[in-house]
Amino acid sequence: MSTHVAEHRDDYGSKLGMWIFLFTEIFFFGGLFLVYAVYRSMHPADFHAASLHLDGLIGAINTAILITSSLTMSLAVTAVQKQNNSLAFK
Amino acid sequence: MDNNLNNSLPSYLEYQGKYKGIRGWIFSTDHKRIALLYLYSIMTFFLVGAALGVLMRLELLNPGQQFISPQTYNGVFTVHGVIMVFLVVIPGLAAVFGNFFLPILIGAKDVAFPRLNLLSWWIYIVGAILAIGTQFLGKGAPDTGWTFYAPYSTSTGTNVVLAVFAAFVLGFSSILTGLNFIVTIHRMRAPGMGWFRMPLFPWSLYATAWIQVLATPVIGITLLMVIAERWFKIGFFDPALGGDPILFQHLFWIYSHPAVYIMILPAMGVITEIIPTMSQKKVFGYKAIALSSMAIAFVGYLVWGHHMYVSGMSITARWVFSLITFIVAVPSAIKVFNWVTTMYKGSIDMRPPMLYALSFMFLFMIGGLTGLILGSLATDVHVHDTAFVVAHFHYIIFGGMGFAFFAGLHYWFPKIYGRMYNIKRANWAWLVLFVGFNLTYFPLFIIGLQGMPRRYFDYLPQFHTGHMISSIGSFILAAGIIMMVTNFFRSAKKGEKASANPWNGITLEWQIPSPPPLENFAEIPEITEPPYNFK
Repeated sequence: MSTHVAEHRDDYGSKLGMWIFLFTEIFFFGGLFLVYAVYRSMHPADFHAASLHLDGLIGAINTAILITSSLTMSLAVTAVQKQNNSLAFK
Repeated sequence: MDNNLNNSLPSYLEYQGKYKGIRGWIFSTDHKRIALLYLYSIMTFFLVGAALGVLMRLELLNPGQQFISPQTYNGVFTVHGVIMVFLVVIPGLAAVFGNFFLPILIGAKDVAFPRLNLLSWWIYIVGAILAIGTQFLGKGAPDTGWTFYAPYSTSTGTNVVLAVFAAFVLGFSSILTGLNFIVTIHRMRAPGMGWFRMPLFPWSLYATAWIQVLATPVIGITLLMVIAERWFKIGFFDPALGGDPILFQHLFWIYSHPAVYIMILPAMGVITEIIPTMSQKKVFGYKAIALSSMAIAFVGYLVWGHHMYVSGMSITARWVFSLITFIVAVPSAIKVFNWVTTMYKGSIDMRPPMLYALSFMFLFMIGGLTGLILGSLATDVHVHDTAFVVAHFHYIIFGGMGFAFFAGLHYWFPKIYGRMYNIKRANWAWLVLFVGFNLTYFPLFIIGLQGMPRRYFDYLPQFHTGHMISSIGSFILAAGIIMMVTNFFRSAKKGEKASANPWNGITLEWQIPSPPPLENFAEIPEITEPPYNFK
């Protein structure tokens, strides 16, 4: 029995699927941001007082990690586009 | 078209690919095998949930404690709801018949993302294991009801975190299936099949998929907020921590109301496939049915407050939600009129699919009309949180979606397995089911109106007769389910071989062999006419 899998490539469809997934992420975190926004607008003084307790170092480390991970993602995509799969894997 | 009926290719049931045996099924990316994986899982959980329901009815047979404690009873109605809602009805028709028939009905070989499809099923299984785990692990089965209202859900000692996390995981199964179906319908329709030449079951799946994709993330984040509140004491919902319990209700119902449309839209789609075939007549009002599915999906986002009339919302919020609730009933009514008109002057075939389709219409109408009583502000105050609500949603979900599921099973069984079930046994099972169903749930309308609260372990003597009839009805209902399921079991392996088109239908699934081969079509058909073009 020869292989039954026909090569099926649909770049438009794949991008459409990705965009829909991104919309779900927007609704997901958007709900959280909405709750934050509503509570903050209702209690501005409390939010200001609480912010004085935030740890700057942890915030800085978190931001650094997020930005670095975005960088490595872009590098990986560029590597795959240049057919350099082993580099992408690293 | 005749090329597609060529029987020399092995069917999807027999095909042996890279993996053999059971691994050939649980690692399969064939939409038909995935559909059956969902079918077997969902039927299993349905039977578990039904057993829990019968357990409740046994306890409620007489006033006072019969054989389970009040705490256990609370755990039982909670897990009954969690299983039935998240493991059975929400995935239900879309995961089983959508997966099996969407590609075939639009003339495609599979869905847009077959591996994602398999992942959806795996995620479902993980979520199911977590949900069942809540009963046995940790500090005791959750007792909050499937609605997890705060502040009880954020403070009770039972296993709430695991239960809501299970629901969170199951949500992703739903989102990925919806995403898959949207892209499939946009990109993989056969040549010549414009949007308005697509059959109506895919239309209903399209509307459903948008709800799955846009509404489920909201419950996802809400459930995470419950976990955050329990673990980190962040005051989202608990007033003692500065939170707002009504916020939970709003967030919860913003998903859970559209969720009921996830349950019913594919059901209406299945009925819309069955009725033209069993009436041998073109569907009346094709565009109206297609667009009413989209309208229900859209307007359904705007009515969530009708679950919250007595929560303390402003009168403006209340009358706006009530008005929109009445409006959302209109597209459903349009469908009912169209089904009846389709049957008018048709050649009616009363075999089991039609029996179930007609029962659907009857039971759905009772459920829908009682929904209007609940949707109207003044009457809702009287029946909110009573057995009336329980009867309403069981008529809609079980009588509606459940019977549509059974109708789909009886309609498509010969296509799926290549065998026919025993029609006489199916008819008897239907009768027992139908009588049992009405005996179980109709009395609940009456005692609900008389004041019987829901989720109550015990009750006043005046409600005894109603509960007694309901419990006896539930035993008959259970017997009917067993009769129906055994008929299917025996027929899947040993039933008479079925032809490719036992009901004389003309949509695409009847143009390929029973059971279908891998990739469905030997050659993709070219569509030149609208669907349901019975001559």
